[in-house]
Amino acid sequence: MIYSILRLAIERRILVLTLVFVITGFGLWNYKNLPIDAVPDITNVQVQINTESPGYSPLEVEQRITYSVETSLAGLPNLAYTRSLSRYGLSQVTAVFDEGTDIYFARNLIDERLASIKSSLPAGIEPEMGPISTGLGEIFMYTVQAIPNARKSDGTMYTETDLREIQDWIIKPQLSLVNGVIEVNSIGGFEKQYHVLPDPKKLLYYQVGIDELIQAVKNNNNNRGAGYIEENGQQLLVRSPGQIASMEDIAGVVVTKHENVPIKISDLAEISVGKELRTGAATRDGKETVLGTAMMLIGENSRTVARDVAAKLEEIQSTLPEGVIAEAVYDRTTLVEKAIATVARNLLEGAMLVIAVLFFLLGNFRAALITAAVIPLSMLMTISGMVHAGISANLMSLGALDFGLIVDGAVIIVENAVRRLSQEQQLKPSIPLKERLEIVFSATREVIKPSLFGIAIITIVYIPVFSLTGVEGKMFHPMAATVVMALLSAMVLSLTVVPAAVAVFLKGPIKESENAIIVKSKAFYKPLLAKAIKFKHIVFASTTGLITISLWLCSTLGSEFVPQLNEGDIALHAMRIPGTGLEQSIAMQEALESTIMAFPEVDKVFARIGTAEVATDPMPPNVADNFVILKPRNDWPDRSKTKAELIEEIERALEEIPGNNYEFTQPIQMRFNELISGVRSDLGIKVFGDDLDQLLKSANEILVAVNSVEGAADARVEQVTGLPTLSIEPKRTTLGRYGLNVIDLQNWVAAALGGEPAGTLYEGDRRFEIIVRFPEALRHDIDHLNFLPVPLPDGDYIPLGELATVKMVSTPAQISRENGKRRVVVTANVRGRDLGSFVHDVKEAINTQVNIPAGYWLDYGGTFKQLESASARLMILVPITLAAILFILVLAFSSIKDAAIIFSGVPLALTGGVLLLFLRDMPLSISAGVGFIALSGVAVLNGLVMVSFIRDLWQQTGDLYNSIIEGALVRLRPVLMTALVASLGFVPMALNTGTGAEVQRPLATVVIGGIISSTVLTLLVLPALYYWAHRKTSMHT
Amino acid sequence: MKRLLKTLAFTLVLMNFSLPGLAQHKQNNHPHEIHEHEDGHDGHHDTHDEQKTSTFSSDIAKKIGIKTAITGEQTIHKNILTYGNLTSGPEQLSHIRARYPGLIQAVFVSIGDQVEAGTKLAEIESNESLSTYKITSPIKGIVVQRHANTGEVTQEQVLFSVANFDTLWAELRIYSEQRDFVRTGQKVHFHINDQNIQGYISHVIPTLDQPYELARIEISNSDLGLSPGLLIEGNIAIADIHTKVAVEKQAIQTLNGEPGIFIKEGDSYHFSPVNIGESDHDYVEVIAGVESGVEYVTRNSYLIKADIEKSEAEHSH
Repeated sequence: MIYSILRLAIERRILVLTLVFVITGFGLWNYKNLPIDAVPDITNVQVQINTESPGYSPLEVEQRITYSVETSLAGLPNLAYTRSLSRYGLSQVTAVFDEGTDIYFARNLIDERLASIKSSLPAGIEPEMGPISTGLGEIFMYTVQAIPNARKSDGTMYTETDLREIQDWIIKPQLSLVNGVIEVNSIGGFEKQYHVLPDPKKLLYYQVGIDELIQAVKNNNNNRGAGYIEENGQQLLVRSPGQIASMEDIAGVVVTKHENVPIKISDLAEISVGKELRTGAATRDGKETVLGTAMMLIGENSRTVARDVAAKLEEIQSTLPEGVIAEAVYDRTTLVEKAIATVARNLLEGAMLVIAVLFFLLGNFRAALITAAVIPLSMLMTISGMVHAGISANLMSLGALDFGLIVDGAVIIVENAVRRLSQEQQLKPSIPLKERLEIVFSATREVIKPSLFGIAIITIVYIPVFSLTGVEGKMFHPMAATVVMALLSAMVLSLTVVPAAVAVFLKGPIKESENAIIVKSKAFYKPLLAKAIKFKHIVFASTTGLITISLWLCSTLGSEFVPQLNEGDIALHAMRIPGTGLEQSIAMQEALESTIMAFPEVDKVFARIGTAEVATDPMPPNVADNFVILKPRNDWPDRSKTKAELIEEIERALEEIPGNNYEFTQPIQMRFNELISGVRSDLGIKVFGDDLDQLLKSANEILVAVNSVEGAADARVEQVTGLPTLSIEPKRTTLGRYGLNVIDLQNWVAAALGGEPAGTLYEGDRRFEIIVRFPEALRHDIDHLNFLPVPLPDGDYIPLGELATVKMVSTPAQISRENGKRRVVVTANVRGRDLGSFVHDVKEAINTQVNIPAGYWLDYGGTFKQLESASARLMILVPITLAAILFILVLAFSSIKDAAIIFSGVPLALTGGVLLLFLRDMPLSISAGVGFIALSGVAVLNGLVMVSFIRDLWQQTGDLYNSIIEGALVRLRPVLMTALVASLGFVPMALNTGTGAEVQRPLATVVIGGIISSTVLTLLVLPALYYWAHRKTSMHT
Repeated sequence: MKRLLKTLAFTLVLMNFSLPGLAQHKQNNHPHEIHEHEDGHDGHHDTHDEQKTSTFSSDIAKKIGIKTAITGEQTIHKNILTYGNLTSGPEQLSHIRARYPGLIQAVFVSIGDQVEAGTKLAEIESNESLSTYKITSPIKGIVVQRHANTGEVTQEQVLFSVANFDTLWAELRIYSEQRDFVRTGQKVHFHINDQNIQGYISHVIPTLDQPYELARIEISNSDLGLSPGLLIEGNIAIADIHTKVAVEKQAIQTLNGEPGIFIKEGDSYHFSPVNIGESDHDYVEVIAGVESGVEYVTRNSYLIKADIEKSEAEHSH
């Protein structure tokens, strides 16, 4: 079949060549739809369900809300698991679905379930699903600030509340309309509220309860329509306006009357624009600010969306009041463009090098051009494939593309055709068309099989990559898929377009100059080869020695799981002790940010503290996500400073500031971590059960048991307690004596201290809550809380201290649940021993030392699980893959021996890779692993071509030794060429230091090192091995 | 057969090589990564945890706003907050009736008129004797009510009410929990209608059917213009305690459930648990735990607590 395709391609060559235009057109069209991003999206399919519950403590949130939401999700199709978090005022349930579940389908199902539980939730509490976004979603952030001394129209300075109002009502509505933006999240400043602050004495004097006050506001704040009346043919709408429109209107609301005198709110309370009890704040360069985050819809193109948002923000700027500036502080476009520039440069430089090598070694411009044409064509085909497979172009997916590898097949074909044509031309100067076509056909046929087999083998070796799951899978599947697509495209091209092009364009005199280098290398190679065959035992021994050494080297190399893309910016968590208040955190940010700003490399520092309006990342107020935006490297005083060094310096400076713990990361990485969550240490022991105290007790016992096992490190129990709480506990008997119910007291406490919404004040589109609560001075004075007078039903009053005990207690700061049950996690890492036996010992230690009460159970998790399953899969897949390759080789040669000889190229190739990694002081990583995989393919390809040629010669001549020498010499040029193009194609990648280069560098390094060693060894060891293996067999032809 | 075996052995060797290449780096990776991260903090908080000490330079202390003071003598003004009403004393309101029923001949005062004790208010012709007699004001004060006009017949009703609000009484409710602290003679601060008023408890009387006692304070109202019935808030200074050692209230932080203060020694701040006694709005008495004349942290003492306890601070998602 292959031959008939080949014949067809050569005979219908013009038609085949027009295919090129089709491919180009299709590819270019697809390119426009190719999503471009910096990194692959590793978020799982998840839906966050956030329920805001102002005033609820973690325990109540869990009991009233989280439990209901969680149970409602049980049994959803494709639901992998649920986890939840109950914090002060917020319940967040995260439903994680199986990979591949349609997110919209999942959300629909959840929506349906949520609708059915609405009645079982406390009044006014509504669960909402988080934005349809992923870890890559936070593409654009901006701050809203007033320039110093900017004043409002009334002459006062801008407050944080004003800025937040501008953000909420001018900027956000406009940005939300940008295509691809799913949510604009605000944090910082205060949402504007109108506060009615009653004086408790006046309330008592006029015998007005807080609830009456609230009711009065509610009852006097409405517009009513009353239909219409027709009069003399015209229709009159009837309307009775009564809405409160200003603070004066609030003040004028009559609450009651006292001896026939109407008592207005102004008689009872002060009215002011107040601050909400916020859950989050934002700072920039040490000062409070308002921070907006534009989130991208799942599957959108981050570069385009971020660019559009930036343009829109620019446009909005002109409509903002004078002195208020909305400034972009984080723009994903920058990163994406940098990353894409890196990839593009790598690919372009690689392609140039490949073309140069081809031209140089083939000595024929046309032939070089035909070969090089495979690069853009296969690239365009790959892009089409990526678009249809839903793979975005990013550092990872394009990271393993090596044009050298891609053109390998074409190189072999073109080289052989050129050689044959020029040989033929030496016999007769002009070859008739038919004959030329025949030569092209046979030349192609000679090598098509090995090169097709070679490509098939390289493709097969990528199979184990597809077996990776989880985060690694998400990172490397696109990479493997892209490479396989590119290789398959190249294969198709070498079967069709390349021979057709050779047939069409390689006419006239073929100038195939065996250039000086090739001639010289042949002269050098021949005696060397002869010696290698002669002293084959020495060669074998030293090769084995080399392999052994590199094996040992391999074990000394450091390791790194997934390479980290350098995003160019720094993110750091600043963590304070649980219970730290928001204002305290802001004060602490000041010292922190000014320290960071002191670094000349830093452009901007900004931070989110606590939880934003939409709780995409529910943090307590004691945690701040800091973003450190660095200046372009050109503006650094010391341009050679690495980012790692800078981080180290910053960390050292920050360690000086007391009260903070830090965790350095990067913006996108941080977001991924937040979303994927889960246990990030080697071993996580989850204790499930009901009673928090018992859970904690068991967890602590487990901690002791774990620590008793050798090799345990960093073992700790998840922090769940320690939220200082002011507990106002009703005295039931006293309450009863005064005719009060517990709820009466609770309502009073909630309204007096927390505040109660009493309606909405509309200012055009803008709407602001009216809140009734006690003045700040009273709320803050904890000492005097006991004395506050609580009204009694008979109009009298009694101090709070008589009705309730006010005390400070420590309550759970957060309650985590998983799959519908409370859990506490004990985590540990392992040092100095293997994970498997450690986990086994830990299990045994827990079984013997810890008594887990009935109704409580354990679950062992952590990275060890992933490692276990990954190793298990690889244990099966790698041998299968190797067997498959062997099978193909055996198929090609119908000889196990030959197949094994070719196979020997694999370890030989790996030695170079390991060596170069060692020399460049780089750790083993999955990237490097993928490099090794690619390398195995190349090595096999080299050997395949060489052996098949030798075999053919041997078959023709029957003389083994001479066939080997002759064959090896003939194959010297293509082997050198494929080796050179494959390694040179990766050189830019290996040397590049731009954004994102760190992902590709290990891969490129391995391939370059490996190809050098594999080439040297294929040229020398392989023939020797072949000779040794076949010295006793005779060719039966 | 032999050849086959050989080949098999060969492939096995190859597999063994390829396998660790893929799997090995996975094994080492995580401990390594976390190891690095943890080490950074470990060394730091170990010292803290054991010694409950935090150390940083004076520059940093200045930057983050640490303020210190010296422990020493202090008078602690203990007070309690109570609520009650303004009332007029029984001797300050006089309801004047006619002694003998009769016809009102003349009325001399109207509402709002200032009267002295003995000022003539009205003349009444007795129904029985038909002689005219006068009614005078028994107290000095203001006429606040008048139910008498010339020509009317007096019944049993009150003709005039004369009130004197020059002195008012604040009656503060003292509930059982506060009872032990309240004595006569204690000073009371009021804040009524934006005016600061002081008074002393004249007496503490039980109420007849209520669960509280009343502390009565006389308030001179001649220039204040307060009216009875007003709900008031009184701050009773229950004791002025002179303490040998006292610290500012904001200096007290709780570490592992123990209250204490941070003592500054050079650049290090050391937690010292204290036994605290009486306290007021600003100061806390130290019964034991720290001597007089020690430099301790007042403002932003929370930062030092945070620094010592920060190993607990983690970011859980």
